Amino acid sequence: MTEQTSPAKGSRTAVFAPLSSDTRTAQVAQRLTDAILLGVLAPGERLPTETDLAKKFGVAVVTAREALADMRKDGLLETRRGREGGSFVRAEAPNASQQLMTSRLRGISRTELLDAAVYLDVITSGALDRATHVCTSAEAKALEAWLDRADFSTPANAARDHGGFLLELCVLSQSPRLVREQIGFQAQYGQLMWLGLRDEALAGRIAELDRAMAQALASRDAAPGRAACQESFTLLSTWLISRKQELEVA
Amino acid sequence: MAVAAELGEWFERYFERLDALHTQIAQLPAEHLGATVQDLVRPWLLDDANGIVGADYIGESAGQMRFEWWLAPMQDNPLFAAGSEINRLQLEQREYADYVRDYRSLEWYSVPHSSGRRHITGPFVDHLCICDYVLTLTIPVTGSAEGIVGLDLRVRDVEPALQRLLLGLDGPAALVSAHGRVITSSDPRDGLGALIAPESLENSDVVTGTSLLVVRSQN
Repeated sequence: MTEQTSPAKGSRTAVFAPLSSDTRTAQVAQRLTDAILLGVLAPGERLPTETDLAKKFGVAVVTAREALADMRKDGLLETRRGREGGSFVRAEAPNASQQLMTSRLRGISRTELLDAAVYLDVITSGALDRATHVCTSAEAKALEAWLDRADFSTPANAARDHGGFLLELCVLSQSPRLVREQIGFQAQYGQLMWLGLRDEALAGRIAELDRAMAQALASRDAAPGRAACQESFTLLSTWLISRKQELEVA
Repeated sequence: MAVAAELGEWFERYFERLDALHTQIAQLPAEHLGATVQDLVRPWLLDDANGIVGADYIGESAGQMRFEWWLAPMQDNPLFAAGSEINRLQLEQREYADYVRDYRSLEWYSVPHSSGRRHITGPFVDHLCICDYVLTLTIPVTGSAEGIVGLDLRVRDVEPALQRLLLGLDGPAALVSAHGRVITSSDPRDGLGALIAPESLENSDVVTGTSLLVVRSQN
């Protein structure tokens, strides 16, 4: 006789868990603010129009408009009128960035930060593991060559190329789901997670770890690659939490 | 071998579409390129029976890079809002793709361009367009406009047709890329994106008119 088991309660609870309570307006503003913090959106840069932003984020135009208005209120954006008009990242935004980062780090819990790092580590190292089985030598070499030309010299470039590298790793796993997860999660947490790349020494170490992952792939030995991946996300989340700690102690 | 020839014919019908598209684009004045080309591929992209999820022209015309690549309507994409119309691929809206430094170095562009011949890239996860597992068929464009015309086939959509053809064989077999990567297989043991060992590729049949191979399973 086999015992009848009902599905674990936890999994059912997760299915019906409430959706994120963040308003969509706040989410749009958060993404753009993180991008300004990291320098991915540069001072003086013109943002896409409200209509384009709405399309891009899959939200209503009024939501995009409200998000831009909130950012204007925070002194991050300015509006210029006329033919060459639109919403621009304010030149003073970098001066505001310390303050911005402070409020961003105060607003996110240690648990959420650590969980984001765990999740990114697991999908990335899982993809790396999978890729060591299914990628060709040419693909592994191409990824190493790509990384040789990657630029970690400024925070914005390092964020772009580090994020791009992790995405390429997922692509080599051949799994559309892993790629979608990586894109979706980087969109939500990437700019925040990569803030540690503002620290030159840490950026250098992250670049070395990316190289270790590429070498692991080329030598078909996933274990050192997984270790490098874990170290990478641990360093980045530890950096963020240390900054948060400093703020809270001060 | 009949099945390899049948598979060849199946792919040939897609290349015929590309040849026709090429002819039409070659006759267009450069200034009409943008407006007209989407009309040429819209019927392909709105017909969900053919597996075509992206198509058109990428290259250089009148000294300008043109990215006239159109995508089928999508329901479950992490990058696009759902809709019922075709979408133009806007690389500038893919900030995560900034790291793709030169797409001219990518296989679907560089190979047909340097060989002057048709090419099938993949299967691969296309993270620039529909974020799914695809084969990309491209042919070179030369003359006043340079570049490629091509189309993306979503593997899960074309799998039933390819499986039917593979089942014409008297044993399990895999349809694989020239690199040995499984596109689809009638052998349940072949995993997603699996690579067939090089020694097995030696006993394979070339799919007529392509670089793809049909590899029969050992025992």
